[in-house]
Amino acid sequence: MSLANGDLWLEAFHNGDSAVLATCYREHYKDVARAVSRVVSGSDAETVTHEVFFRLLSQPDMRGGFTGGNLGAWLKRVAYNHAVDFRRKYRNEVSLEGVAPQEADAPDAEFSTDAAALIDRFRKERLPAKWAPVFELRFIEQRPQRDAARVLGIQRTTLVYQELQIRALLRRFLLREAQ
Amino acid sequence: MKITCVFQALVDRHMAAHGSPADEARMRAHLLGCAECRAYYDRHLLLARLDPYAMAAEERMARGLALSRSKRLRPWVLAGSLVAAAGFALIAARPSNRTGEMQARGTVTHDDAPRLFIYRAEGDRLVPVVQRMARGDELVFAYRNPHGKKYVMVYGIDEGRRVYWFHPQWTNAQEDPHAVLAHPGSEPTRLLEAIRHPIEGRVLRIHASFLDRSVSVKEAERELEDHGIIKDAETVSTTLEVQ
Repeated sequence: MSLANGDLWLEAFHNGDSAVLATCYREHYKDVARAVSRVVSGSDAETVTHEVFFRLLSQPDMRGGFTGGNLGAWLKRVAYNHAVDFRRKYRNEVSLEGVAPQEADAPDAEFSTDAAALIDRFRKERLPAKWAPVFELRFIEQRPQRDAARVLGIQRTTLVYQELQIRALLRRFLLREAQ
Repeated sequence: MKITCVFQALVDRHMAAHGSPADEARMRAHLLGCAECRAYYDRHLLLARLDPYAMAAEERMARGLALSRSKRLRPWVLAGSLVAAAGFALIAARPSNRTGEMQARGTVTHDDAPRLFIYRAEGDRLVPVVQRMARGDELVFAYRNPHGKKYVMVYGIDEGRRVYWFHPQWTNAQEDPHAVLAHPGSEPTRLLEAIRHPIEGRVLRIHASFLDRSVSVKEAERELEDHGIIKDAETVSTTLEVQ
């Protein structure tokens, strides 16, 4: 529910009612994450997102800043401002050049240059050729399992087996080898 | 030799949704000043983005805020009575390190492969579970251990990588139960309890790992996280749709 609806709900929100705040989290996590990711990315984005919700859950003063209306819009504004402050304080970046306007909807991001390079290295250095089609369909394109099996003309159980192997290789590559 | 930051273990724990809110706070504070750990975290994020079974960021972050609604360690255990299995059409999972194909069997056969049999408890009856299960099903398992391995572990993993332990049962997060003793032989052996888990995912892959060493559930989960398998185990697996 993006519109605060009634004095009772607002009172519960200000009082830190756990069910109300848990619902806020579920309903607005994506909004907050998107607002933050206009300004910072990667681990910084998740740190800021965590901080926004941590403060919402633990600080009555912060919750008191919302006095009714569109909770989603309020949270997005808070998140955006928090991300800008974070960027200035921890990354010494004062300019907002390259930061998307607050009102714009951030499109789903392509892979960053670094991520694309890692994926390419994985393909060339670690991924056996026989598993490349499964990697492209399931890991890059994120196609459903049933679709991928149909396109590749293999049984789903065979696909699952290959996925398991690819996942182990990818995990080892990204977390152990690609330092 | 490259020395890795010791806080990477906290990043691993966060990504596996095993950390506490206190762990989360320590990790977040550390990330502010450690470029190495931020880069490691970012590689984890890339892995999560690619892995079709990765836990959603929303759920993972909820764990660090103590908001998670997942209650993965709450099986309901009933002491089931032993029900004769003769005449049932048994659906057996074949070893995943062989062809990986699943097939229905009309009767019990006695070949030399380990097997896992899955049933749903309905009153006094055991009904074979075929391809799909209901979210509230109480599951009963039987196994065949022709290679005489000493221990067995039965667990399920859903697409969100939540692990549900059936045998051994894990009801207390402070404890670390070990694999159960396995009866050797080609005749099916039933594990007595009917167990229900609050399965959150839509696809549950159930595994039976037969092994000669006594592994604890926490050790097993670490090996699954690091290697995708429990090491040195013969594992049979089957996939169920959860409705």
